[in-house]
Amino acid sequence: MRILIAEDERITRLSLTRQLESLGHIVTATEDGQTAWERFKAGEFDIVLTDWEMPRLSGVELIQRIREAPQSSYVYVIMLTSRSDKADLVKGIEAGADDFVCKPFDREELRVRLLAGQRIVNLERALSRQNAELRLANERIHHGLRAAARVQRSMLPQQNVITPHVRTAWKYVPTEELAGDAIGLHLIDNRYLVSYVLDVSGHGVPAALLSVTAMHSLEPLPETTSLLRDRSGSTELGSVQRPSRIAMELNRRFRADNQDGRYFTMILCVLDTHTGRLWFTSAGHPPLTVLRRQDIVAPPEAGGLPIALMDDAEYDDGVIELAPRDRILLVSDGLLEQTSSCDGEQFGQAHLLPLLMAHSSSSPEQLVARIVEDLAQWAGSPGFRDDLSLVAIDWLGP
Amino acid sequence: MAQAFDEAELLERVDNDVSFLADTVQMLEADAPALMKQVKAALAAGDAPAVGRTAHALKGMISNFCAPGAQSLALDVERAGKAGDCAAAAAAARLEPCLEFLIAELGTFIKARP
Repeated sequence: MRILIAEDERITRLSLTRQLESLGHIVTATEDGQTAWERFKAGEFDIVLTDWEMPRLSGVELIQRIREAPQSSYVYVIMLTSRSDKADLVKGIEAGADDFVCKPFDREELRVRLLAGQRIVNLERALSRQNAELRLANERIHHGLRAAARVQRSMLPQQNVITPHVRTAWKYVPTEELAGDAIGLHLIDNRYLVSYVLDVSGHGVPAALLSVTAMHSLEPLPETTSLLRDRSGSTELGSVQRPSRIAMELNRRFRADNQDGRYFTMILCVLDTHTGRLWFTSAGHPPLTVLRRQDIVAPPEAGGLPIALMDDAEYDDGVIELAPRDRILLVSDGLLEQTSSCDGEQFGQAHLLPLLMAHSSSSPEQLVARIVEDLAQWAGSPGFRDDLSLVAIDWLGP
Repeated sequence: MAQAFDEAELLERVDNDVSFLADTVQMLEADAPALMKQVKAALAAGDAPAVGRTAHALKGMISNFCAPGAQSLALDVERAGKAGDCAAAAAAARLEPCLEFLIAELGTFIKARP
């Protein structure tokens, strides 16, 4: 080991140097605290052996400086003291010394004390190495998570759907880098607007993987394999599949026993933007909200169990005939179940509906921004306890 | 006067390296009387902290030679000096001949060995 000695008395310094060198250590001996400090700063040492009373800089001051100095690895400090200096010993240990050796030195005692020091230094080095490896592994994981989050974000709607018949807006606020929520907005055949919000149980990577896979299944392309497409021509929705059939097919693909106990809720709507007829199904998801001027129109109950909860679950469709300027809102439970920072009350429909009515004349973009703003105030911070997804759709008329 | 130092312990301490021991004894011969002089000067000046400090250094030096008698007297001077006690002068008066005897005995011991 590389040992630095600070000892002003030259016979003791020489004896100590000789003993330590005979034990195979590399020794740097200095005659006072200040010189020891200069050598310490300039070199790399594993152990420092320091006397207490020294000219220029005392042993306790040297120890304090060593402990305050930024170091690449831990330095073990042994104080040299006489048996009569018990008070000094206490001060030295409090200042940061790890151990002490009494003068005159017993060769064997010195050897085993250094052995103990070496053990601590080696343990600390192994720990530092492991910490560095963990940091690296953590950086790699975060790098991967950020890349995965970019992929997930790239699957979100790239822009709002704006036509003479319809205008949409959405917000998506994940709690972590990766979210279990997903949003979709697809205008098919330039007429049928498919919109959905889905919410996978749990959080983190497993939930995000399932949500990305579900989003991928709900892409409109390629037409030949897309779940959104009806190839029989038997629906009133052109080439678009009915929501209940989409939910059923999703449930068939995401079999309960293959999802490690995970499932997801979903609200999926297909709006014929030319007629205002809205088809929807809810797989255990918070209900659709329909705002007609200043009234809330209760949608019929339609749908079934969350997806991947039970094989062979059945779903049915609800249909609403929208009136021009009707507004519909799809949300995830992250919005409704957000608790207040004041009293823990949930935001719920009780606070959402008045907000919708108060901003009925705002654009969908303004509305979703306002809802997120109000929810942040409600939560007491911009970070929410659950992923938040929100889609607003205004049907403008035929 | 009793034996000034423990010969067997001292030899073991230096791994029977008499040449090294001779070097350290030479250092003691050179440094200890000077420190003793400093103790006496500090006593004459009534500088108790300096008495304590110098006696502490002297005690550390003596501790290398397995000489409990001289070391104990140096500790008495150090303690009395640090406490501002006038007993330091008496203790120092006892230490000086003891130290001279130790140096002389060590010299004889070294010379008797090839």
